[in-house]
Amino acid sequence: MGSHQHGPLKNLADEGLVERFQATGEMMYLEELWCRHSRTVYVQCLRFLGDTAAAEDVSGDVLLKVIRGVRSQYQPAHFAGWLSTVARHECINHVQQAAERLRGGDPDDLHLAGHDDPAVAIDIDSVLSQLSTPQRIAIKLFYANRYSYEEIAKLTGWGPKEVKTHVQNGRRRFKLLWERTAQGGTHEPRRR
Amino acid sequence: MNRDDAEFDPPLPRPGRCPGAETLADFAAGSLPPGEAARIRSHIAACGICDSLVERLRHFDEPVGVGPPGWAATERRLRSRVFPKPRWQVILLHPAVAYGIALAAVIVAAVPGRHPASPIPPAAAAIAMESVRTIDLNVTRGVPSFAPDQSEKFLLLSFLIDIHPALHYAVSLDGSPAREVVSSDGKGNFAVLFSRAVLGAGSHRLTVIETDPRSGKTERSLEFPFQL
Repeated sequence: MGSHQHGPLKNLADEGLVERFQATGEMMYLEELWCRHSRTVYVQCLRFLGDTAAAEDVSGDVLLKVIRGVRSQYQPAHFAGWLSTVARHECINHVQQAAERLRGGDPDDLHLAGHDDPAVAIDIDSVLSQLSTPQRIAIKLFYANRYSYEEIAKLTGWGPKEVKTHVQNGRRRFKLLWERTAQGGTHEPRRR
Repeated sequence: MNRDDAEFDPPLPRPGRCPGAETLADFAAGSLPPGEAARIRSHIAACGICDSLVERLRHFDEPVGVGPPGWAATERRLRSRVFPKPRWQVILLHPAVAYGIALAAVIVAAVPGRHPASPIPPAAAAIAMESVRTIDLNVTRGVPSFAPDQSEKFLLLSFLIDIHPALHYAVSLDGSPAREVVSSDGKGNFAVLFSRAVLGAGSHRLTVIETDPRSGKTERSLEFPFQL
């Protein structure tokens, strides 16, 4: 990197570096931005995806997208915020695409589904909200999205045993709460 | 778990298609209009994927602490993907090419005077070849010792250090002026060719100096003592 030949880049704010890159096209400005932000992007992706290979893949995509977009899409405002937004979108896309691949690329209905009976939907929400977060997510992934334990492990980064525990404990607690709600009279208890 | 529990099937509706990344991120940030937010909330109520994504988004902007394990290697791989080197640099930095160039340069410098043009040029291979012993300085304990061989003209000293792509490296032998060196594979492996004229029998010390080109400050100084 030839930054030492071109003055103290370290003294420039992110937005100043972007403006200079936009004006000159010189890569040293982007490399300085890279030095400042690449680790943060990688750690954010790693925390989100829970997998080092996926995090490296996605953070590379994020940084390439930013470099390509910095001349056309970026409006000088807050570079770090923009970078974080791009990283968020790429991480979400990565998980959603992995989920679709596991479904064989066959997405569900185009509309956003809900339960037919609004009262029952409220009961389901109420029961789900009383589960722990991992139990709630595991129950939905297993019973609503219909993924297997192994697929849930891949999508969440949990271990296979952990997935099984969350599903089984979640189902037990769901049943208890569901039957308790049924005694209140909103819905009929249901068995498979 | 009893049999009743195992047979119970929570009556969850199928979730339908998931919203796009931008919509989901805006929902998590609370920046969607109320009607749109309600629609997404209803989807998330049934969808484990989106529920999980929104949960993960809650922690996305939490402060990033120290570098994760293996960050230096990850950073190098990412950098080479994001800022790929020009093809000529890739070729020149290949260890085989770098060794060849270094050896040819030393041989050219070592050949005394100019030879008159010969009607029959000598075979190039006969001039450009020299058997060189490699001294590996990567030992973990003590001072490595290598048996001297007075017949050899050159020695190749090799070592491995953890490098940072933004920093520069130079080596100095026994306190001589430092010369800049480049990792032969871009990953921290270095090979430096020395004439035996400067490497007599006895104790030696190869010093590797790491500097930040922007500040000119020496970041690290690593010593590789060895005995010939």
